[in-house]
Amino acid sequence: MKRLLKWIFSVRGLVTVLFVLFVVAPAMESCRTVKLRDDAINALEKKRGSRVIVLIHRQESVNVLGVPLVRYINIEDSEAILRAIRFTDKNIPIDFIIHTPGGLVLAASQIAKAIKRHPAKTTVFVPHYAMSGGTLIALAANEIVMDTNAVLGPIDPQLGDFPAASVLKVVERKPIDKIDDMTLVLADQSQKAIAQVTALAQELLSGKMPPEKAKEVAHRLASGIWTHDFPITVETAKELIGLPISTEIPGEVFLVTSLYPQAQQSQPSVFYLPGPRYKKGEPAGQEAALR
Amino acid sequence: MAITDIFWFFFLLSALQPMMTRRLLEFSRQRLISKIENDRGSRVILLVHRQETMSFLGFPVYRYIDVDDSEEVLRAIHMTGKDVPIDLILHTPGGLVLASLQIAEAVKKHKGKVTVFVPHYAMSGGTLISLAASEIVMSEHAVLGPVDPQLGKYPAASVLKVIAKKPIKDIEDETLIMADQAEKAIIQVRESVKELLQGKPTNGKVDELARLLSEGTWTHDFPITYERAKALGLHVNSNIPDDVLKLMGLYPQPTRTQPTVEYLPGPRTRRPAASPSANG
Repeated sequence: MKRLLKWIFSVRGLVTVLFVLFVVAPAMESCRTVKLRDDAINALEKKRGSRVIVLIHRQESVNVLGVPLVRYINIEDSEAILRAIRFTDKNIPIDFIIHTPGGLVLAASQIAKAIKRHPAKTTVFVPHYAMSGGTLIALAANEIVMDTNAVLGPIDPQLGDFPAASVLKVVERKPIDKIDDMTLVLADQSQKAIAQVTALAQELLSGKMPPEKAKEVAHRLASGIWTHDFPITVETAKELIGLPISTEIPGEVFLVTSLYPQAQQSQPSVFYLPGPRYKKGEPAGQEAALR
Repeated sequence: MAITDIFWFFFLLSALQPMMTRRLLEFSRQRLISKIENDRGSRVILLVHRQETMSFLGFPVYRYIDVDDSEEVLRAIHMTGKDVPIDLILHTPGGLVLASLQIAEAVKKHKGKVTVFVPHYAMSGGTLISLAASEIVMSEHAVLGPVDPQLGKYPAASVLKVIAKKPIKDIEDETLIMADQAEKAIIQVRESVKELLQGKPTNGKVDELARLLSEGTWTHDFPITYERAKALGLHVNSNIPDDVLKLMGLYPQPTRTQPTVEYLPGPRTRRPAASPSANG
């Protein structure tokens, strides 16, 4: 005991303790998370007999200046996903777990088309939100499964900071000789972009509903009748858009998303004591059983 | 013990001290939260946004309701039985409409009673969440705020004022683009507020209330005090439990070198004894 204490207080002991605390422990921790993720995805794949692909975008805080780094669907993502799909046998179903604010139309449409083309059943799980590009991908799947509180979003294209639909409104409302040239340039692109996204959405929806209906749904989603951050809840999606949507999301999906946590902030802003709260006798939910 | 041992001892102690303080703080939070949960038979969820100062360059980092917050809150609600009441403690300047609405909808959908506690302030998005609750419990000096949408740094309502006042051919293109978004945003928020207030005891004033709150009647930082909220017909009361106020004290503003508000702790009550001036 005394020798151990003496060793700890020696320089070499101190360095070892610090090394274990600051280098070994975090490394082991991150190894453990990776293992847990793999296990969770494995469990889901086994249960559903499918290939599981996870697309999660979290806003990460860059450490030095605390500037939030915005993550979105980019070409790297689409490339990785297409590779995963290519490595999946034609008759193996694919399950996507999507949690994203959206991203590049090009990347999203590449993913969507690949999903549409996959011969076996494709399912998109939306545990929390899949806006814009995420919604476009969801439209391509055979089945959309959302949590009761999850949301989709409109897919109207954005040109830089401006929604294409709003740019077109300017041209509509203002006499043309008073409009800035740059706005007219943008307006031309807007028109094309909206037409293209509408056509794409219609194509993705074809075979799932009558062509007339697909056209209407595509128009509603892509023409900017809402702001771009408008939350399309399960009810709205079912009623207004007429998408076939189920809310039977397996607990394993939540387990997977919870293993991709937000990069640690200095102080989290939501607190609660972990563990489920159920009244006596009430059957615990699936995700409760998992914890 | 040699002098170097003492030196190392202090070094270790001071290195571990912040960690220990944090653990201690965490422990007392957990104890207080579980006390409130036991007393009220409920699930307690806190949504606390404090403005942080990054220690490196002293840049303030603004915290607001974002999608990760909504995800975390929904996870907590998910893990709560349908009939178990939820106590949501809000201290926030607001945030993304999307995230706030998602929380609000989930609160509205919860079968058990949902009580929102506002110990100090819950502006904008925080107010939106409060509207969805079965009951809003404010401290007497706490405030809510208007829920009119903001586009970047401009209030949507003010952008629309430009359109209303200026001939359209003289308005800048960018303003017109913003106006289109502003119009949609205001309508969407108004309709959401109407929906959230459905079934609440507002004496049939739902439409009027939704308009007042979402159409930029006031500036975005206008404090809606307890009295005003009551007068507007919102479902508020002021019976905030002491434990909730105590709990907020355990979520201090992080990393501030010198506190700007100071007072001696402990309650001050006037003694019933005669005052010294009355001795004549």
